[in-house]
Amino acid sequence: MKKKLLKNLTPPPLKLVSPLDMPEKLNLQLTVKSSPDELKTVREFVETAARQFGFSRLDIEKIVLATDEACSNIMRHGYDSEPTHAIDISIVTNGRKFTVTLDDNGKSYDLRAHPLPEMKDYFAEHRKGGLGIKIIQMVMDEVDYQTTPAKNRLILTKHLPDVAA
Amino acid sequence: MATFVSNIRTLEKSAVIDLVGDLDAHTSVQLERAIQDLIDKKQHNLIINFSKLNYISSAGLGVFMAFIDDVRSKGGDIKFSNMPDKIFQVFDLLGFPMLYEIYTDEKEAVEKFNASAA
Repeated sequence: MKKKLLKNLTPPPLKLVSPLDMPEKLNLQLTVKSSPDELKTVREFVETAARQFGFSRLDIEKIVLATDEACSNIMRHGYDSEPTHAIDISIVTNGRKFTVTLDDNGKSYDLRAHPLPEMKDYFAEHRKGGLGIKIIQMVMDEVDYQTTPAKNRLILTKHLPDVAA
Repeated sequence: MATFVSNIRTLEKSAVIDLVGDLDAHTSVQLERAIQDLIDKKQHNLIINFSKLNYISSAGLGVFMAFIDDVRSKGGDIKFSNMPDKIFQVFDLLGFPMLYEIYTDEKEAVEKFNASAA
């Protein structure tokens, strides 16, 4: 009985990992309207790319969430909930670095300067909203923001963890 | 295409709201309306069943924050149940388990409400 079981065990496929092994290179673009019903499309776009790049399920969920929060903020605050403007989203990877760039022409807001609420105070005051920026800062490795007269650019970066030896 | 649906069931002294789909900045308005309707009908024992929820963002969390003071001041509560891991992770990230009771099964939340209203 035991023998039979052992016989049926197929060894996992041999995977050679070398420092030269790099995840797939991605360069993807998506433009959506500043309407919240586009958020699902945004999430699917980011999810597909992050999965293709090789992130774990947990990291995929984090990147999707951060991008959704960033887009929601642009729609609501940058564009004052006017649904007809554009948000250009690009995903570019470099080595193990996965970068989501969001360009818009709305009001600029450098979320890096936004005071992050202490959750204890937040709950004590029962404030509504304002948690999106905190989420973005918590789940992404780098958050960068550039503004020019032409556009605002939010750059969200996450690194693919090194392959365990 | 509907990306979010909320269904309401009455279980003993509680209203159970089943969330289905994605709860984001677009769909959270629907949930806000559904909860407001229940409160208007004097139902303050609310159980949110997350078993069929696929996604939640801060807009969804904001809905629960918006009503929690109101229902608690009226002797009720908003209790959470049947939360899939990926949904719990978002709540946990921001420390929401400090403020809300989370149950594995909705029955436990129903019993808790029954006991408190006895």
